[in-house]
Amino acid sequence: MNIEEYKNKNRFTVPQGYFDNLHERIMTTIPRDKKQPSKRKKSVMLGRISGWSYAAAITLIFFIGGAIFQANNNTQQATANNEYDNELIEEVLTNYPIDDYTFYCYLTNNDTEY
Amino acid sequence: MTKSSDTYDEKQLIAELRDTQSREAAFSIIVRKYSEQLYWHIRRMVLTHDDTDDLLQNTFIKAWSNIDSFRGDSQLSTWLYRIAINETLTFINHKQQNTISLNTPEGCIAEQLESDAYFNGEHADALFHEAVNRLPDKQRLVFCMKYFDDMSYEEISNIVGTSIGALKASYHIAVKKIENFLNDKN
Repeated sequence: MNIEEYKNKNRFTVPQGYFDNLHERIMTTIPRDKKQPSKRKKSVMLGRISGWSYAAAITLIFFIGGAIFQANNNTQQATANNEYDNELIEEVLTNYPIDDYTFYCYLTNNDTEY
Repeated sequence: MTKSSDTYDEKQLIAELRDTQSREAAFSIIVRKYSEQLYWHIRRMVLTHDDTDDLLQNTFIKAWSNIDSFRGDSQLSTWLYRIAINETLTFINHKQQNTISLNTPEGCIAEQLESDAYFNGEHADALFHEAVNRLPDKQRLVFCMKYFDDMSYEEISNIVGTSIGALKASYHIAVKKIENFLNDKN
């Protein structure tokens, strides 16, 4: 058995055009802020929440908490405020880049009558 | 491995890497120059294109993040290879901790290869790569650098830090293991 026959036969292939734009793709992933190198991850791991998600979560909590506080202090406007709260929550969820897991944590940690 | 003109270019590249004004442009040249070479080195270790793509990008991200620690006492290619090897071995070790690879039946890896869209070899080629893949990680590394990349033992020694004698022995044993594996399959 002589394994030399496999030496010059490269049986691995790449997607079409892979090497043509490889350089550009690599250069777009390198962190310009060298203090915070970003490593590509193949999948999002639950429980590892970035700083931006925490900021978004805190902002969301303030908005919703404020809306709930306002609703609880004014019983005559409870119905109107519920509709307002739903609209507010919908707006915040749409416009803030918060992942579902973070929001779930907030909801489960604030399990109130509301 | 390098010629005098490449040495001059490399010295200039290293100088430009150290200058923050020209660093990105110099790094771009390095990416163009070494990305494909490093891709194939990683690919022969991990076999799949997607894993290779991730590891290659991580290699350059790590190289960029550690430019300031590159002292220039080794060649750029040696430095990049070391980073790629570390990333690859870390990935392989992590993968082995999460799979039952030690009990993988013989022929299974070859089957996976043959079903891979980015492998166009025959069954014998797949078996050969399975035989290589079954080598211990560092022995596989030495074998790949010698057999596929055609590196000299001195170059390999500079990268992995192992003596040339030990590398020769490791490579010789790796060849025997592969031959025995293929003979058994035949």
